[in-house]
Amino acid sequence: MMETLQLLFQGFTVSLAPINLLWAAVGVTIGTAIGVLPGIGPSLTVALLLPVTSALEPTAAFIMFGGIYYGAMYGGSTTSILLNTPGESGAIVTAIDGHAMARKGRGAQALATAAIGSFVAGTIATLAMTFVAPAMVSFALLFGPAEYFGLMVLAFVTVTAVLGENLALGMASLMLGLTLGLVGIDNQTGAARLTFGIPELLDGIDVVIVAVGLFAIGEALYQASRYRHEKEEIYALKGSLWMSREDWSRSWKPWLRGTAIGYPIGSLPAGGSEIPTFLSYVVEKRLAKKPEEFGHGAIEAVAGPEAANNASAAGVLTPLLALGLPTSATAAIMLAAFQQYGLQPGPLLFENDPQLVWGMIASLYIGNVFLLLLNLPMAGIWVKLLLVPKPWLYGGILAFATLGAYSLNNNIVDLVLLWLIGIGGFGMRLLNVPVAPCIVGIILGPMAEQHFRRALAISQGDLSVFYNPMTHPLAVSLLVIAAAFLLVPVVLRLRRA
Amino acid sequence: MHSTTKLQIGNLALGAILFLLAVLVAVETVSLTPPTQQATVGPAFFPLLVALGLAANAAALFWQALRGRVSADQWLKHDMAPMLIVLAGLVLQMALLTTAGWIVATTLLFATVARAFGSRRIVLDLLIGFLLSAASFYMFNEVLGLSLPQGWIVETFMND
Repeated sequence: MMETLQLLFQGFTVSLAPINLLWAAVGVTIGTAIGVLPGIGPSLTVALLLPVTSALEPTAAFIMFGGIYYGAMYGGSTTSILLNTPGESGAIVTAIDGHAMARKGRGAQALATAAIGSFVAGTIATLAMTFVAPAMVSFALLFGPAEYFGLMVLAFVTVTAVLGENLALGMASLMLGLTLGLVGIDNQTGAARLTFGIPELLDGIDVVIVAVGLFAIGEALYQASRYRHEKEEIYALKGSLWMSREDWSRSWKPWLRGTAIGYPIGSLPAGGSEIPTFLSYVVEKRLAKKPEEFGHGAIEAVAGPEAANNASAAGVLTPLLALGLPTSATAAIMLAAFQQYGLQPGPLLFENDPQLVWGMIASLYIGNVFLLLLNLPMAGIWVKLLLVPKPWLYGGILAFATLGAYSLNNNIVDLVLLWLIGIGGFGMRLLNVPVAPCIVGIILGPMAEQHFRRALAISQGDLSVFYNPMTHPLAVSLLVIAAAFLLVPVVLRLRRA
Repeated sequence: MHSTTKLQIGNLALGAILFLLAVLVAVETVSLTPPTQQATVGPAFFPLLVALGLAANAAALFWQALRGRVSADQWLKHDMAPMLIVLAGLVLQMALLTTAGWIVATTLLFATVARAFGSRRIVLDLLIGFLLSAASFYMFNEVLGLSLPQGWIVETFMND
């Protein structure tokens, strides 16, 4: 406990250095801007910014990425409320009552309760992360390769089963990611796998290409095919911009409950932001004095889910830093950023690079304060970003997407791969195949294989490390939980049918 | 065509792709070196697991599509033409990138994409595309030290 506070204090000395404050400010500003822009989420932005890792030192880069992640969570509520188009899955629930409030001319109050709720939730959840992450690290020290393999299988299954309604489509996305992850030289034996004699493929397919291809190119192609069929209406902010006394008294409890729901669920390997936001909505509706207002602009229904969304963002960062386990698409891409530096998040990172880890955690506190300042008085300015016409928005997205892909290795093959994956992403959008499992598959797949082979090398080929609960209770229980996530819904559906 | 039929065809196509990938992965990796003394599991083992998973997944998709377990309300209307224009813009950019350079190629990409999204102000689009690509060129090459291709215009007239 004391030690943690000491480390956090050291982290603050890192993150309060003027240059790092600047990166935090840059991060939260970019994050808010892209959160507000419709069609761009935090995962795409971090993916587009991966090339800067070649020029920045790691601490500065992760302080900026952390700021982007938090900033996008704040900004995302703006499109939900004013446009009714949630930029990412965690903001879907906010759109229901937030947009209803905007239609009634209470858009400013909806934005305010979202921003203040995000601040409260983000700060409390970051505080929770400060103490939970070291505990998780000491737990993770018990893990061997077999346990890490189990943890990764659990992450595969939960990311797939939780996102999207259709299991077969989610699995298809995961399998495509695992297949892409196989390409390249096997780093234990040097055998070239699935490279088809193309030298550029020997190093494997870069995660950046896949992420940018699926998110940016795929999304742009999809939007191009859809823009004629979509009509968006922006609701201007008018009247008093401040929350009334009643708004405050109806908001503060949902903020705290949302935090309490969001952080623990977000930090589970099954995490994500969908479940906590939906759960928070249901809880608020049940506890509300006027549940009939839900769906027609109840402020509780914005305050609770927005707090849950931000708290779950801090939750998602916890297993990412402590175990190296990404539970959302954004976290997966941040993991790729760590890999660009040759860093592997997990217990060793806390041990070897406390400056980086604690500097990043401390900067999240600072980022939250910046975000409150950026979002409350300046909400009206951010809203102007919604006026950027779609032709220019997507022109810009594609310019930066190709920039990111080309500058990885300065070769044209990467651009061609980028379109091919983008066309694949377009097809996935048409069929409602979720994209996140694919990203998690390509990043965690090779790591899962490594742990799998290492576990068997240690046991000298004895497969019982994965099923004998007496010798490896942790690994086996992780695999059993994963199997349950996969099979229980199928069994339930078959029984009902 | 009815939208359920389209979605069924889409699911079948996805299943077919997964199945072909399963065959490809299996054929490509089964011949890899067998495990040696040090490594109990060779480089082919995991790919074969993935191939099995791909095949099983393909089967599930086929079953789902043929049983009609796809809901039509998930299929939204879309036009192919604008999407193809965006792709054309990307191909154009690649073709011009190393010769005409980043700024010219990306300006054209920007304007093409804007056109695909229904913009009619070509001159303005070109201007904004130019500003954006020139700014990104300067930002990434001069400040962040990347090397985007400058192309013959800059090479001929600026560097003497």
